[in-house]
Amino acid sequence: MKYDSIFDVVGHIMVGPSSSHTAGACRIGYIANILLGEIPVKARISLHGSFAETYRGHKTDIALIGGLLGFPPEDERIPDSFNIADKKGMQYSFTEIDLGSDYHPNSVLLELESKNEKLSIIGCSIGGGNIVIKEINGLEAGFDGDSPTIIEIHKDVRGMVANITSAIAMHGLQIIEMHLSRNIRKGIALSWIECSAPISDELIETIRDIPEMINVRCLNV
Amino acid sequence: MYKNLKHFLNDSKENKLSLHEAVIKEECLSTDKTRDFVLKRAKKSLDAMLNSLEKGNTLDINLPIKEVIEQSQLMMKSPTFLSKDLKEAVYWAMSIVEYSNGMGIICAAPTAGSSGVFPAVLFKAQQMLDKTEEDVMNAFLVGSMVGAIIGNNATLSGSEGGCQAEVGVASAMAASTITYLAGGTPSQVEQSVALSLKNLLGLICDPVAGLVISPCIKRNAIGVMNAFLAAEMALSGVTSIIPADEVIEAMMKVGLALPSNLKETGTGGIADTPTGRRIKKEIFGKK
Repeated sequence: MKYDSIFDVVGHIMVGPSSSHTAGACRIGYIANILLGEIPVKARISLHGSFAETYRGHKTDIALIGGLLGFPPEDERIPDSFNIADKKGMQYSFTEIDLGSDYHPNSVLLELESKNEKLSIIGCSIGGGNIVIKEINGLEAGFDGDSPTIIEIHKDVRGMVANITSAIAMHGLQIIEMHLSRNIRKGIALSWIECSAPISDELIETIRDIPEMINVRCLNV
Repeated sequence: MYKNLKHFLNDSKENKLSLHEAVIKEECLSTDKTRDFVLKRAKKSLDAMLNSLEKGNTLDINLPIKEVIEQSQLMMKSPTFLSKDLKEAVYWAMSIVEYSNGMGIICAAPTAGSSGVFPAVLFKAQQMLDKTEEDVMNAFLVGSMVGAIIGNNATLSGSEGGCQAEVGVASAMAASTITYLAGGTPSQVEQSVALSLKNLLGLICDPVAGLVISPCIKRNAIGVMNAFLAAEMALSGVTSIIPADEVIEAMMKVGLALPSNLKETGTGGIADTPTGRRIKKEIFGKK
């Protein structure tokens, strides 16, 4: 069954005009904002495929900036996103990019900078306002942002997953889904773990303290 | 989740539950949520629908998008052929999708492009029949289940099934909702789905320049009229020769048979007319 709930059909409250080109784009930006932990100072936005071809008509650009400002797709401030971004001192630019045929036609590469950090994300809007975060900092991801998710980038060494999952168990959370991808050449790996309940700051600190951990990000939705 | 409409109606009969109580029971079972959660979540969607209707009807909405011509306002003139109520329902539906085009916040039902039909029909019927908020909630639940059942047995996406899957389904949801609101029997609710969906079978998705403007906004108007028509017929005792579940299956087959240029690609139908192609060129350049 595609739909387990009536709210899959009448529950998507979102900015118009297009669930895939507007609401989904906003959601990618919104998740990028949460992963960065703040509004980016600089955002270089590269639009791929159908996003590149039709973003002006569907207001994909305004929606992405709204998301980066931390507005979820049902936020009434989204139409005013460009003005708000200017007031908050967020610099942004839009270009078109061809990521290749491996990427969904509605994909975007976000290269973000905060005061201390850089983060690059490729997100795909796969229809009906649903999205997938496909890559983070060049490493394969693949989560949809519908559940609380912990994302770790760590050295590609033995025992990392065991350490992370035991920390999650100790904090009383159940794992819904998990995934690990390795970049053998760089010797690093990315794992993401969807949990049954919101993730506490203590759990994030515990995971951050695991030896060989490079970066931990948390998405509480 | 119910497999089909027959399963939905049989389950309510066997458990001696009204249709809306059966929806609440089934939703709790398949999503592991409480009755209270389901009702609150439904209220949130209904509130968003009402909000889009009210904001969409405000004349001086401050939206950054100027190119959406507010054709819906022309429908406020006094009617020639329709009743005042039906004309106003059409106005509401069109103005919600115009509002969505101006980056307004809407509740997809089942999609953004078809989001005007369901709220316009439901809230107009509430006004016409002088029904309470609780009645509206119950009717909303029944129409939502009809939408989910059609989605599971066919599709709710224009790119998979054409506009019949969007405005067509919205119209069937709306028809079943107001048939229930008016006190129709479960069998009449089922008939309203068959009657409304049949009328829009084969409706293509051919957006000019790929945007959710033309023909989408005005197709919401036929979704509204078709819903009132099907509900009126069902409540009068008119029945469909083909059962609703079979109409839903037929809708999926028709959707699969439609060529891709008639399924949201903006390359067929009215999108592929001299005027449609010119508008696309004006908006997006020479692509």
